[in-house]
Amino acid sequence: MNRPDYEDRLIHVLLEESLGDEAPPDLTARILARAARERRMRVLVPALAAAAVLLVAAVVGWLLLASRYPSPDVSGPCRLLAGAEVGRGAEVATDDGNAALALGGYCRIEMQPQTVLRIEGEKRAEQVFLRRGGVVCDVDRNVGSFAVCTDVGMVSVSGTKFSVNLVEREGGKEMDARSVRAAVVLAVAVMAGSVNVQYGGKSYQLAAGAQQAFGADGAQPSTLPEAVRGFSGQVRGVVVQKGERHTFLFKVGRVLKVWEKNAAKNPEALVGLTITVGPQWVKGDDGKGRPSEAQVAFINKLKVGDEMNLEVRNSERDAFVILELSAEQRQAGEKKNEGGKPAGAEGTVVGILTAKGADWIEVKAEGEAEAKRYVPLWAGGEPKDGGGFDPKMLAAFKTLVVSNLVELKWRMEEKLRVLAIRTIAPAQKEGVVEGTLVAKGENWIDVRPAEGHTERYMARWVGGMPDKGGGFDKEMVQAIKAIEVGCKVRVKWMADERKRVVAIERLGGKGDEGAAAAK
Amino acid sequence: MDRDTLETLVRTHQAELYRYVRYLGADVPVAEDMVQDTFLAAFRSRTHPAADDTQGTAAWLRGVARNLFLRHCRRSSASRVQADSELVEQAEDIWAGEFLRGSDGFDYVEALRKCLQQLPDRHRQVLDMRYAGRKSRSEMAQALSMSEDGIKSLLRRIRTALAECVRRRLAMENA
Repeated sequence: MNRPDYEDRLIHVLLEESLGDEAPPDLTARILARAARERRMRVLVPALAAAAVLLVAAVVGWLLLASRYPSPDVSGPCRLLAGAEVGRGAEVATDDGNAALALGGYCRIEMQPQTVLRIEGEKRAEQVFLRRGGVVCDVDRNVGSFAVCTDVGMVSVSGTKFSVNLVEREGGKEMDARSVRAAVVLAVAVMAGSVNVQYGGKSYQLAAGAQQAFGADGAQPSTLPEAVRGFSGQVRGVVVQKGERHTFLFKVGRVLKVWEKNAAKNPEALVGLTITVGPQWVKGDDGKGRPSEAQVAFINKLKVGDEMNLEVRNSERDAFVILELSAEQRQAGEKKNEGGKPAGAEGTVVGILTAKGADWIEVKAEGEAEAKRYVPLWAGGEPKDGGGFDPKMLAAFKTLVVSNLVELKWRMEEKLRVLAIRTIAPAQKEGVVEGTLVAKGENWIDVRPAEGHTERYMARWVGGMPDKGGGFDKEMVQAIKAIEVGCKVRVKWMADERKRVVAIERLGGKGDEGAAAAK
Repeated sequence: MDRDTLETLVRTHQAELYRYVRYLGADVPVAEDMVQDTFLAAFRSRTHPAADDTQGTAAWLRGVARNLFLRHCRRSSASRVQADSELVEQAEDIWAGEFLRGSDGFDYVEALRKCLQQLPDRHRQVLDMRYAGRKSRSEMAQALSMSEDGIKSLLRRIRTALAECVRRRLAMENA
């Protein structure tokens, strides 16, 4: 080995650089990539350890649970109609208040007022028989099964949140099983997960967000008998399903009135039929036909299971239209009027495009707490005449990028309609902004600067396509998670198809604008 | 240490650190690995000088690099460079005292550039063959009709002369 002469080595190294053009390499990218990997591991290892601890705790918990299965328990104002205590076979009834029933430690059932049910089932296969009223059920996953049985049908799940209502056409009095099947509508709404409904010998799978009513003749519109064609009058019934283009299925329970213009030979034949009802078409200022705004607003507000009086007439083939809304119905619809704007109102907003679909966009305008939905103008008359959304605007929607700042001109025509829209593109490819963090999501932040518009900054996408392991920059996602809404921030950003947050620096909390900068 | 701080640290110090590790005796691939490892050690460490103390940070990074270099020499039986803690401390003294001189080494590099301009043509030709032309000793020996040992001695003499020239220049400038 050579004993080094460091003075000679110093000259040697400098000569290599100055004469040999051996400049030190730029290792920044490699170092940052290795640091990022280490940082991810720092997060991952404790997370895996925590997951292991949770797994052990879950196993222990499960074993404890298995050895001590909870008995049925009820809380809140209720009465026992059958049985000496709350247990299997007991019948529980509520009067004017709600009561909570817990079964097996994994089923939480909220009994609505005027509800009667019987506790059935067994360990990990809990079940109630709903005699009348309604329940909202929250069932933990992967513990056991749960079912709500009724005379009309059965709703079963293994982990979800849903509601079941027995809607009685003739009021609240109890009926024998046969009359119940004929007169009651089983209304099911699924909030999370999915449910299986057994009805009429068939099985129906309903996913989250679905609302479906099952009546004596199902949720299909009846074929209209000749005897009721041309009907015009007032009926009472139940909404059994919401349809497309502002229509709904309505199960008729009673015929209350018949108008002079009625042409039906036997109006009473409507009882028990499920009819399709939509809004009446009226002429607008431009002479073109469009659905009545008030009726559309009213229909939009309807829920499956709503029972009401309705003035309708058979307009064409099997369809009915609403003749006139009661003052109460009109008022209810006005409350629902989207955007809270009077018909014909126009305006311009600048805001963040928060979501979009083929024929709608949602924009959170400056100063508004929530995003509003906008649709294109309608053109070409009724759908049967080839009417539809403005094709140019539909094409424009396709080019928009969610999270970008947009300026749009709107008009209230039954819904908020987009007259024109443009993306406000950043003037630079990168920059720094200081302001208040006014909102955040899992992978984005909204920052309101002292001057200018609130803008959304997404975390950067790294690693290619999702199937290749790509995803949002996990370090930034963690940073976003850690920083609280309301604090002052300095954001370093870059722009590709949208603005991306490269670094966030917290300048101060809510109100302490003078706080020293600290990363 | 967050990403931005690390990036700033790397961009500020990586050139000097690479030069330093090469000076200690690491070849190019080892030097690149060692520079990366040094910054990652800084990234992991909870105690290092304040970011605005550039010279203190540079000295701290050199200390980490020396330790990594010593560990590398001990583990690598193929290492042709003799190194122990006493030697690398001596290396640090020369680097800090002769090259950096309480600054960033710019004066030394500038003095060397001027000394190179004053070099006799034959010496400059030898240096160009070795450093710019990247000729091996045997190629140089053949081209200059000398033995390989003669080339080695000549290169050594030229570098020593340059070191003395630099020292004189720096002494004059400080006088």
